Amino acid sequence: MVEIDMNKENEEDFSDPPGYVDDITDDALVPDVIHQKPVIEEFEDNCVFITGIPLVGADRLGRLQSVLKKVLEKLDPAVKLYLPPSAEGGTLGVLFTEWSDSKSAQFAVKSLDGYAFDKSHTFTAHLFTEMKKLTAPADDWKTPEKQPYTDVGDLWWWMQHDRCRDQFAILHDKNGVPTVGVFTNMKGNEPELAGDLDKAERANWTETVFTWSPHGSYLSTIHKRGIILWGGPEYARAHRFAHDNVQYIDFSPCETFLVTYAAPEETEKWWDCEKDSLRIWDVRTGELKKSFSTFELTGRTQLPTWPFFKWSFDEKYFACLKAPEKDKLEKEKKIDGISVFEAETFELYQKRAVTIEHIKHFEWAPNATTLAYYSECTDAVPAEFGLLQVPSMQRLRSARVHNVADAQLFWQKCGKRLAFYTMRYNKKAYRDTGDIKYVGGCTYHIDIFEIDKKDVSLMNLPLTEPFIHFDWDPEGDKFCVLVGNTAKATPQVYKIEPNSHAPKLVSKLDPGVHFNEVQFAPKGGWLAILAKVSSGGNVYFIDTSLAEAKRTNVIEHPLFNKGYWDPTGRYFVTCSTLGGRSGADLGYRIYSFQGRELCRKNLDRLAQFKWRPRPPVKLSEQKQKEIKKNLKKIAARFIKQDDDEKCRASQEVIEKRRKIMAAFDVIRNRNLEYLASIREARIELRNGVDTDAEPNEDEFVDEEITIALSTSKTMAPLSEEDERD
Amino acid sequence: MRPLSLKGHERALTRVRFNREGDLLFTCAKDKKPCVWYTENGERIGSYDGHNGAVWDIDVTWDTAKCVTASGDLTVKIWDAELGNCIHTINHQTPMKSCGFSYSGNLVCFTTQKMTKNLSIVQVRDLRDSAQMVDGGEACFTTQFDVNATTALFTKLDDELTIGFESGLLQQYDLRNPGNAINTNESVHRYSVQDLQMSPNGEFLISASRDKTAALLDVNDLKKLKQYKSERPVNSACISPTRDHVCLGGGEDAMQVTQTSVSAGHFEAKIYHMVFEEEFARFKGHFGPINTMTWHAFGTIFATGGEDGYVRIQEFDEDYLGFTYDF
Repeated sequence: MVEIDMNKENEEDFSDPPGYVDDITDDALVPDVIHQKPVIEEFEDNCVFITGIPLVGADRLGRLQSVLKKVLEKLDPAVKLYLPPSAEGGTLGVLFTEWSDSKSAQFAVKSLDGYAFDKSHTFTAHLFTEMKKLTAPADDWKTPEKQPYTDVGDLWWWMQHDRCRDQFAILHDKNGVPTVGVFTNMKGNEPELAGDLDKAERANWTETVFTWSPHGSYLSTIHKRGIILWGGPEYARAHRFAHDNVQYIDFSPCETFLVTYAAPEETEKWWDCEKDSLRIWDVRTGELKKSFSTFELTGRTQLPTWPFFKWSFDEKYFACLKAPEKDKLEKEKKIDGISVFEAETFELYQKRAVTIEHIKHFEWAPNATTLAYYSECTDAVPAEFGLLQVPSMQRLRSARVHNVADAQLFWQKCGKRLAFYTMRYNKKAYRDTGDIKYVGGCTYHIDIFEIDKKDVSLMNLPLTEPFIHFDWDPEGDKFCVLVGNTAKATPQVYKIEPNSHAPKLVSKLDPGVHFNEVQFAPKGGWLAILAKVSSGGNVYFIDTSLAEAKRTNVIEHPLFNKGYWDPTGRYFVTCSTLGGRSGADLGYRIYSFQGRELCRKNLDRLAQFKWRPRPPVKLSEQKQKEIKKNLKKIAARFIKQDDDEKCRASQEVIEKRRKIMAAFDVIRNRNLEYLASIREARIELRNGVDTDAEPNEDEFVDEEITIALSTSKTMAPLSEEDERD
Repeated sequence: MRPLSLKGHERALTRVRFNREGDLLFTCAKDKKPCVWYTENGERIGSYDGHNGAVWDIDVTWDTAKCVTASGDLTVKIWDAELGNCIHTINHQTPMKSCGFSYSGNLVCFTTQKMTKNLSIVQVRDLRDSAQMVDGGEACFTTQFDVNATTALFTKLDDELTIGFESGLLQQYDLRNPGNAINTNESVHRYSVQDLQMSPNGEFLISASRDKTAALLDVNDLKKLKQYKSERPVNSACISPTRDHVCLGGGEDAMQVTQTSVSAGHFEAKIYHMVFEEEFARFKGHFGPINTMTWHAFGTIFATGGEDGYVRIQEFDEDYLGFTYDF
């Protein structure tokens, strides 16, 4: 067998040389596996550490021991005691106990913690494993010094603008340097810098991006070493949060907490530095409230989504999807729960996650501590859409739907209703590649839970065309759903009428191309339909406040990739920013709510445009009604102010222009005077002809030009030769 | 007058220029034949035949007696404007990129492209001196640069030259001192200067650059007076002879045109107020970037030449004539 021998010769030899000693430890070889290796802690789980033991001398030790024994044996007769002796042979005030199993140890902790041994001695009991988590303070630890309170001024100063103008911030390149600027939208005029020149606009204000806090109190900027919040009329530094290489930040809904995340820097040894990669801070005090390990929360080394935690509207709870468990083959199972944390303690509520099989995503209600969730369907179990009340963990209502391929949840901003869209398939098949293929077409449905109805009623609306997008009127009874495809997308406005079992179609608007988003104005009534990142770049502006929805205007902003209502719903902005389609002109355009263009600005490398959010309205409902009733009277004042300002503005512009022109004329006249002074030289250069002089019409030479006003083709008559052929 | 769309060139236009009176329009393109047209009706009178490569620039003397053309065939040719025959040919080692006559029309300047060992050269020759007009003849002014001089023109009678460079630099030289620039402006443009044109009265200079701006400069010291911002690279800019307006033309790079829709390419010519730097009007026409443009002496007629190979002569409408700024 010559062939085999040949092969053997060519084969590389991987066996160790004789006498080789394997000195590489598993820690060095596969540290990531070792990190996850389970550790036997049985023994430690059984130990309880008790402090508050009376301090006695060696003479009374035996007596104390027997009394302690008597007390403890009531809990479990198998308990073992160990009193570490002091140098003199007395007690140290501490006691180690070992119990028969971890259960009785836990029971002992519960019963002994806070137990009054006698008048002057109260026990403190801890599990030994818990004690391990306590570490000694660093040698150089000192009591933190009291920080003086820095007053940055009124955080809501901008709300007191006498013309009620809104602000926005942009990040773009100014003279080649990334610059953040805060501006006031001036309604039709050029936006004005909202503050002093050197305060409201700063080069390199942030190293990556900026955000507004949810109530608009702070502008937050991201830096290499952490986050800075700026507030007040001078944009002074209000708070700092140290988090190296921070990447993402998120505020809780009422600005009380700030969540920050930095990915572990060393990917080789991520477990060393990822224990506190996710941190929650108190915004007002700057205190680090809690830090989380991403790996423990998600079972992954990287975050799956951002914002990672979803906060309830009142900041009492925050939640995330539970980490997927692994089966025996180390394969990830589907996620089967939500981890709900209490913001008071930052601990998992009831120490365990809520189990919801196959959960895909969830959303908090905007006005209650209720969770809406969607769990995917499997071949055996239909998909489930449900409402879960926290903290009672009761399911208010759930609906099961078969054959769901895709779904989305939409809460109405006032919390009255929840809509979910489902794409339902007929039959499912698997391709060779393992991908799922839906056979026999799909149907599209909108289902609506009415939260305030008895037992939470459910209504269904089948759609005739594929679903594209959906949005609720934040306060009213209407919603708009966009259906169709990129070539023909039709916005449909529906109304939910009391005592009706299905939404009523109010209007079907003209279809358009490339529409992909519906946005209701924050105060309702008006609606924008956007065709983002399309070459046409259309936006429809629609009034839904009347009996029939009416389109007022269509605008074009080719290739725009973002569109936002301002917080009051008076203005709409479209912008094309970095990260949109290449070749787009970066910049923004501001429109009135009816779609009239008010302002257009092109900016180099525009990265962000963000309206400054407004805090919630604090006026009583009665007062709000009063204002609505007297709107005409109040409006008259604003209209007059607008007109006055327009007049003044044009006066100002004219004044400014005069000055510019006067300055320019100085240079122009100087140059013209110079040219006049060398007139002789110029005439001489052109052989005595004064080319500056008005042409003398007598010297004109008439020239006739023939112009063909029209041309037409006529067939040439056939010559005799041709005819012969 | 209707808008005239003149299709006489086979390739992208490189220069359109009216003669002083404005009755004739001289054009050259990347094909080999510069043309002359009647402004009135767009009839082509004839072409100047003799070049064997792309023609990058054409200029005509104040009395429309002579023309000068600079070509990629390594020659600059002086022509009899009326008869169309070549009077002189100046040879060089590298392609000639721009050319121009002095105020008197006696001097001609031209720039050459930098290629490997050969530096970019700016030269001035005197047409009256036959020694200068032959091959190997000594120029009356010559300087050379390590960066491409894209365009040059006489800005003060027959005495001073202004040169625009690929780096965005602008320099002025006195003919008597080729060693040192008398004025330099390196701050106004960040990328290549594509075009320099004088105001008809000769008090200002306008520069067009790929950095998406055009700048109005003081002709005496090259100081920036105004700057006009466009969204696209500016290939050409000119100043109205009658009103305080300037016009900018350009558009998306020819390389990227196929990827952009016409509306996003910004192939329109844009009119700005010269003093307030505000854009107030645009006019469409070309379906490729505008490479060159010029304002007719009347102030109401306008010629543009585009990458699309068309020359367009347009007359402004009533709206333009009635438009004024309040100040």
